[in-house]
Formats: sequence, C-alpha cells, structure tokens
Amino acid sequence: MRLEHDLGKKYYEGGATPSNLGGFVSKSMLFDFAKSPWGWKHSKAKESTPAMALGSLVHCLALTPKKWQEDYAISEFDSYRTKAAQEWRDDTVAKGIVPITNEQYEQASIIADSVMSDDDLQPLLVAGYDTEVAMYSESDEINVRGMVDIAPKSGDCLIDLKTISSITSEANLVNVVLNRGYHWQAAMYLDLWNAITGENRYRFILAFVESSAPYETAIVDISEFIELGRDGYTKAISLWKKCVSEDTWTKTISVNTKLKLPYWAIKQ
Amino acid sequence: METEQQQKTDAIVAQEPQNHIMLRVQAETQAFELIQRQAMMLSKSTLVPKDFAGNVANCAIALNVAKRTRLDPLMVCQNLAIIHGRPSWSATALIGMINASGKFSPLRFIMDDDDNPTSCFAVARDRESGEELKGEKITLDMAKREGWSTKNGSKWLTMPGQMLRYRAASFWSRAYASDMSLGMYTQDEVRDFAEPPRNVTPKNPFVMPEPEPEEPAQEPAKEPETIEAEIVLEKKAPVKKAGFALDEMIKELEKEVNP
Repeated sequence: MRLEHDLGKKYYEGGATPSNLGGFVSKSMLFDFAKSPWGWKHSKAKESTPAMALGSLVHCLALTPKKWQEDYAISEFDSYRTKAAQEWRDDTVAKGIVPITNEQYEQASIIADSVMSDDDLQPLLVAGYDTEVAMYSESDEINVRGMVDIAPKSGDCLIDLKTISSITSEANLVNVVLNRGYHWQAAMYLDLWNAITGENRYRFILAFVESSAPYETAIVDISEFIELGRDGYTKAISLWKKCVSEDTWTKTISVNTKLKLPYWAIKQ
Repeated sequence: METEQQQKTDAIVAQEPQNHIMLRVQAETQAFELIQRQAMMLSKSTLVPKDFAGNVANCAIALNVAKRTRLDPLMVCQNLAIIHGRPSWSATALIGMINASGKFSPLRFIMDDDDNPTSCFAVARDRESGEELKGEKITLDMAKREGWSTKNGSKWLTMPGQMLRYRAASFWSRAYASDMSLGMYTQDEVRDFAEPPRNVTPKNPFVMPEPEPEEPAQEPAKEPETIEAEIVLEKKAPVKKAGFALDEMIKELEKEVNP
C-alpha cells in the first residue's frame, strides 16, 4: 500500500486492459467492466473526445498549473492546413505532448480559475492541500489504484474536479453521479486513502464546473452515496477476480432471459 | 358455406380467452388506479400516523388490508405500524377485531394468579359450533427462554400481566383467526422477535483484519558471550601472550578446585 506524488502520466501506465489482465484496476475501468465483462474484454481503447481533452487540460491547469507545459503545447498556427503547422503538430504529438490552441488554453484557464476560486471550495483548502495523489493497494488479491485530485492537508474529505456540460439541477447531478459511477469512485478512494494513511476521512466532495461560459460551479457532497458505491465496486472487484481466474466473460444478460411485459405497455 | 360458418365460430371461440384476459387486465388497471387515488387522499390527511402521512405506497397497503379485513381504512392506519420494516397490528386492535368479528365469543384470558401472574392463555367459543377454543399457554419462563424479557426496556419486566395477555391473544389469533391478522405479528411481538441491531457498516476492503494477538514468544536462551570474552582476553593478554594467559587461568582454576 502506498501513496505517490507527482507521477504525472506515469500513473496511467500498467493499468488493466483486455490485453493486460494483470494490471492495476481503477474505478473507471471497473465501472466499464461491470456493465458487461464480455463487452469490456472485447472493447478497444477509448479514444479521447474533445470534452475529455478539455477536462484533462482543466485538471492540469487547476491542479498542477506549473507543469502544464510538460503535457501541453500551444500552437502558433491558426490551423493545421499548412505543411509547417502539420509538421509542428506531428512532432509535438510524437513527443507525447498534446497540441492545443490558444483559445483552448484560455478557456481551460478560466474554467480552472472558476472552480479553484469557488467560495464553497475555498474553506476546504485553507489548511493547504496536495494534488494528484496516486494511491496503490490490494483488495481480494487484486491490485487497485486511484488518483485523488485534491487531498486537503487536514480535514475529513477528499475532493474530485469534474467538468460538466450543464449543471442544470440537483436531480441532474444525482443522475450524473450514479450514471458515471462517481459514487464508486467516492467509496473506493476514501477506502484506499484511509487504508494507506490510517486516517478516517468519510466525505467525498465533487467540484463540478460547467465547460461553457459563464462556467458555473457546484460543490456537492456525495457522502450519502458511499455505501452504495462501496457495494458496487467491491462486487465488481469480486467479479473481476472470477472472470480473470476462470477466463469467462459474462454478458450484460448472461442467461436465456424471458422479457416481462411492463405495466405501461399493457395500459397502452 | 357451412365450413365458412364453422371457421368464423372457431375464430370467435379462439378470441374469447384473449378478450377475457384483456378485460381482466383492464379491470385490474382500473382497480389499481382507484386505490392509488384513495391512497393519495389518505396520505394527505393530517389524521393518519407518521408511517402513512405523505407515503402513498404505505397508504395503498393499508387500503388493501382494510379491504381484506373489512375494516375502516383510517382504523387500519391507526393500528397498523411499521416496526423494523414490518407492518404489524397493535395487540388491542387485534383483540378488538376478534371480538367484533361475530365468529367467536369475546376473547377471555385465564391467568394462573391474578396478582402475580406467571402464565396466561386466551380462550373463546366458536359461535357456530359452540366449541371452546383454547390458545397456547404463555409463561414468563417462555418469555425468558425466548429472549423476549431480556431485551433492554422490556415491558415483560414492568407489565408482565399485560404482556402475557397480549401475547396469548396474538398466539390465539394465529391459531384460530389467521384470516384477521393476515399473518402479521403484533407490534410488541415484532419488537421482541427483532434481532439486536447489527453493525452493517461495510468494511474497508483494503484494510487487513487485525491479527489475533499471539502468545508472547519465549525469550531465546542467551548464547555465551564469546566475543566479549575474547575481547576481555585480548585486553588482559595480547594475542602473542595468549599461551601465558591461559596458563595463568588454568592455575587460578586449579587453586579454586584444590585450595
């Protein structure tokens, strides 16, 4: 069991994939896997979407602002239509650096500022905080890892940043949490943190920030979801262990199921 | 012509069960919607207890119970409580239902001692057959063995007579009038039967369980401090004089053995 700081991209090496079943399992991997082990086993690596790329850039600027140039480079070109622009882009990508436009950088900077200076978030950070703390441990003989976005130096919580297209309402955030498995993340990260540090943190805070102007924020506590999340991720770890050891990958609906006619259809 | 007529008849006959099913589904749907509306109204009343106030689903269950027991829905709400997640009757309501049913004579309780009762059974007469119906004898010893009276704050210790009567009534109702209790326990039974609360907080799967404390290991026998002895020897006698030093020591030992 250990905590590690300043890993950067190294953290993402050695994760469990369909071709590397002995790697570290993470919350997002487990959440995808549990929906359909068969689907996960036969899936290809996820391609980064523009939303994901913006989210990563915001994370970088908010959490490790001094290091953003290690991972990103602002293009001097207006577009990649010219040969010089294309060459620069290809060279940059070959070095493992993500080329971004100045507009993208400015937008991500405003988003990062908006969330990090939020009046509801600030009180949690007054005692100081660590960012991007990697956690490694083992559960049920499976290697597990997680990356805490913000770990206040003292206090009872861990904090995770989330960019979102629209906050909309409290009910929408509840759906977002459950549909994207943020409650699994909350439970797993708190369990990992407490096991490694010997502390007893019990609150998990999500700092949502909208990805479009005026970049509204919402700081929410999802501690009430933790028990459900723990149930989810521990079952997923058990299922993972079973699937890997038996090399059987169950489908979403694994038996010859007879579908039941719903009440609303009869009423129609 | 005749064949065509026969085919039409066959088609109608085949369609009949399907129509019957559809009618039944429609009737069930209407009944469901009616009970939902009634439950909605009941849940908005300020007269219903907290288990039912604002809870349409609980009110729908109460209405269902009221329909099956032919009781007033408000009476059901007031005497049906959700304890440890189970709907349960109050013992007094159960006794009242038996007495009001008209099937039996009023329930009577036979105690072994009116002042200091230790046992009780309920008895009533079947009005139709005239048969005397005796219930199970409930004793304080039974309450102790079943763990009813050993719970914190148990009424068995402070009101044994009342508890004996209530328990005798609920046992009697399950034996002779289970259609009234609908298989539900009384509130005091649910409290008595409930298991002590368990700690259901899930464990952190990353924390290894504390190892059992082991017996303190015996201190290993001390080895002779040969190295130190050598050092002493070296201090007393340099290596080149080792032979002399040993001779001296042997002489000393001989003196101790043969003074």
